[in-house]
Amino acid sequence: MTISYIGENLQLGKWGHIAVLVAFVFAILSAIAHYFAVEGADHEKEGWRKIGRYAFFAHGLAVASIVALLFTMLYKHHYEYFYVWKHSNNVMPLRYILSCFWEGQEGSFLLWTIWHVVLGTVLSFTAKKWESPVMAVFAAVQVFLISMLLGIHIPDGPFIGWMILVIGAFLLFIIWNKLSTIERITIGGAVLTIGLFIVNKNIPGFQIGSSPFTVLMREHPKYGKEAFFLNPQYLHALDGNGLNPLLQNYWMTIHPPMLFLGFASTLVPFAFAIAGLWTKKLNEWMTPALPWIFFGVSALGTGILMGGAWAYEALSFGGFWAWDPVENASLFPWLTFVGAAHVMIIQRKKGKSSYVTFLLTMLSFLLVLYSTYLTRSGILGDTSVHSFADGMPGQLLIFLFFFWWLAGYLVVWNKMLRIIYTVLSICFFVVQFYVDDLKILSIVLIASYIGIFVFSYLKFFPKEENEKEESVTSREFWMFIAAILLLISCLQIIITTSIPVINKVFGTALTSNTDVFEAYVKYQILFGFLICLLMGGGLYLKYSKTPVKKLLSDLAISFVITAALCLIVAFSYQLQYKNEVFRLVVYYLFFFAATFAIVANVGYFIRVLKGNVKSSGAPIAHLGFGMIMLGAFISTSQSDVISENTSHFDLEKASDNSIKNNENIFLAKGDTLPMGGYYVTYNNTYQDGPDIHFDVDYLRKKPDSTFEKEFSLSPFIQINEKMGNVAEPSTKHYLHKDIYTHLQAYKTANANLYKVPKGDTVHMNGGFLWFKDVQLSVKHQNNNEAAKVESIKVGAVFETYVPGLPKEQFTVIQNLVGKESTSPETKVESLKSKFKLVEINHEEGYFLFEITNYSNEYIILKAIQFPMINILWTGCIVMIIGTTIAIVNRNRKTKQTQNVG
Amino acid sequence: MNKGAIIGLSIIAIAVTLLLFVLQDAGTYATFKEADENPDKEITIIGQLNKQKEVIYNPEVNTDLTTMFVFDANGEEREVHLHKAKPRDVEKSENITLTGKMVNGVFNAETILVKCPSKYQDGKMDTSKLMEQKF
Repeated sequence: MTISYIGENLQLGKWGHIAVLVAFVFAILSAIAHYFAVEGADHEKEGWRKIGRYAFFAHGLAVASIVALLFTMLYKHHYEYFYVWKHSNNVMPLRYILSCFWEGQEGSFLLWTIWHVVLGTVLSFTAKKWESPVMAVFAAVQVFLISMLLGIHIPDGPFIGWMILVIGAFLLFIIWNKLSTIERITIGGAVLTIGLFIVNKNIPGFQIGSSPFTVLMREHPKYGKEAFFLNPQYLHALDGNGLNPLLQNYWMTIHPPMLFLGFASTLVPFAFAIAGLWTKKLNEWMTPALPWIFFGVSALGTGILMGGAWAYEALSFGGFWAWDPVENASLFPWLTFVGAAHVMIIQRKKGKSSYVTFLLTMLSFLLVLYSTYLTRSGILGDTSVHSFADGMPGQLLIFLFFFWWLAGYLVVWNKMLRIIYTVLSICFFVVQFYVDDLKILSIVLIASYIGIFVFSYLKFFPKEENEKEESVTSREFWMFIAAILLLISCLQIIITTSIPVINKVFGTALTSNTDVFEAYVKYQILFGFLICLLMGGGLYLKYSKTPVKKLLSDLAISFVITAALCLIVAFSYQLQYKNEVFRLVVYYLFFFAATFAIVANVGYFIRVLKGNVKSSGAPIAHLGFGMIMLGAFISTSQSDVISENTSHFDLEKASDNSIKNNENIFLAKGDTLPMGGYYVTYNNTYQDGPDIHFDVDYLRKKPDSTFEKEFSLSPFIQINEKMGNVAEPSTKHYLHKDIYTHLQAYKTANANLYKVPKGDTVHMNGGFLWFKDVQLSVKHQNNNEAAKVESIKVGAVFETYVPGLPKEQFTVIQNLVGKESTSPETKVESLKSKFKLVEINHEEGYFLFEITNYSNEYIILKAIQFPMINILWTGCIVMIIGTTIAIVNRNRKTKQTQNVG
Repeated sequence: MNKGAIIGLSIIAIAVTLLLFVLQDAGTYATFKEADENPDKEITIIGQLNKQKEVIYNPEVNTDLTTMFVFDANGEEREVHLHKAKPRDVEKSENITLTGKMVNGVFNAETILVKCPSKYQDGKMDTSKLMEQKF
């Protein structure tokens, strides 16, 4: 028997599936058409370009429809769809619908895809002669991304082999004219062999991609078998699973789009670099790519720091950066991207490109893919607090391998080597499915890759003849050094973060050091130090050669000012670190370098540029980054846990004296305890929706020993039965410091219900309460006794008989207006209790009271002071301003040269 | 040899050195037995919480002590003193990663990482309430 369900809207999902297929097909069409617009016969190129362009627009429209449909489903709470049910619910405020959208894997891929559509559309109109090669890359990336949303099930058996044969034959057909007879035979033979080999194997079925449009009960047997679904009206009662409470934060509505815009923007220079290699125009591609790199540096940097801001505001680890693998993963591409920007500036100045420019530019996008793999495949498992498990590791790997292969293929500047490289890659890819021990295989592969790249670079890659040695006093020399430093700094983070991958490949059982200072900071502080010095000094250098005397006098001024500032800090504030002299020296050195970066760039802007904003992109961006470094350094290295336990309880001695994690304070309700120069107290808790707030007052003791409230914070617990309760911190922001306050644990009063007939007693606090009397006061309309009753006020009068306390009388009230009753709380200080009259039962003749004893309520607080964190946030804004100026200036210059030319 | 090659090779050299350094810093996942044998060494253990026994956090006595029982990779069970407030969702954990030292047969952990079974991914359908409703 089939049940016809009421209220389901299955149309949306059908349209969704269709839109995904359309987007997929048009992405393929666009990629192929743009490929032929580059490789085809001359008279056909224009036609292919047009097909490619319109196919991309059609793809874009389809992606936009997917987004619109998914939004509609979320907005209208269509819980018949799995994605909607899983990521949203009825109680969630509407403003977090965006967070629901990208909470899931499918949604975040969609977000990435839509940014590519936006950037690709802009490029279609602006890239001019670069359109086809660049858009071919874009469309190819889109094919992979949309395939993540396909949700097509491949059945068991030979199907996949046939698919390889068909796709292989098709790709071979596309490049047929480019190949010599021998190549046709080898490649054709290889495809045929692999295809037939797999056809003969019984490959278990698998799924390509995961669609956000699947229907909960029909396509998810795990849930669909619930008896609940036998009810035709199940939708009326079904509520969603809800959004992870940690994501219910405003930063989570803007951080992911910004971060993905940054990720997406790395594709533009990548596509230009590929296009440059492909069409053998090794220099021209940099002109259109450079503003995009600046844009990407700014967007990705902002995205990363917005994530930091979210962690700082909403997470409990305390601080904006925890060197969590997921955070690190977003940092890799940024570091190489900044490096790429710098080498590209040098090379453009010289009018020629270099291997390193290609390397860093392409690495940035490839690292985005690697980060995606790290964070989405679940491989980080035990090392990250937020790894987004349930992945499509296989598909992600293919995505990753394909573009790594493509980039490598084009860089290897020799046909024979390219074939060797490709065969090697394919062999590795096929063999790794069949062997468990990847150790030897990986070592062989890595070694031969390095061999191929080094050999092809030395032997074949086009290089400038008789290149002049760069002077040590030239700006380009030091910019190059800076780019290399950034690459090495990135390498260190990659290696440490990739330990789980290393373990998987080499079968080791390594763990990164849990102390982030040992694992990351001790290396990065050195790179940061050097980079800050370069940022400060670099701009005073001139291209090709700098007069040494002038340079020294310029630098001397900055050095003197910086040294003066450092001395002031050393004497008045003093950097702290547990009396460990070496670490303290390192801290001061870093402090000096970061301050120098700031002072020197401000000086450059004022003294050299004379405040000319137009060409100040570089110093302002550097100033911003210097501030980020300084702010990050001070706020993390000088952060101070102020919540030592000052309560009257003795701390149980740790069995090992070396462990003193004495960082949480026990605060009973109503108590006032000293904490970090303040006194803290909390007297009030209140509920707001699902959140229980605890009002923590920070007090100052005045000379006359009275307390004065300095500020109040309201950390809260979000009650979430499904996913567990979540504590969210609250932070007081001052200009020069922040005070972060987080609840580690809490105990609220528990309410008890008592049925008490009039005249009876309740036992309490060693004594008892006597329910003495009931008072009624009736209010009529217009105070006219003959008119209808407007409201009734019932008062239950109690008298206390508690030993040691004076007798006291109080009244608990219930108001009746029509059929509505309200029960205000009556607080009795002497009993430390709150009373509420819940119900009056006339039939059985009792009153139902809710009595809450709040005497044993407490919270466990952790409070951290973060000094100078505002320098970090300001620095971020300054850096955005700087890069924006640089982009505008670069575009202006490009236009000028075009006009002249 | 030109400058590019020198730079290329030096990057590779630095990368290899760095790799060695970093891997030297890295510890390995160990078992309680190894922790017993190296009492002064900081050790990282991946294990599972014994869910039969209670996780005790009594902030009224000590705000920085959580006591629990953990099985290591060999299935050996030990008492663990975590010198922190009780981490959220520890009872629901699938795996926990602990770093610390063994002192008198008790593993004293300074840091903990709690891995929950696909934390927010796999929603359980709570139909108990829904079933009660009359349609």
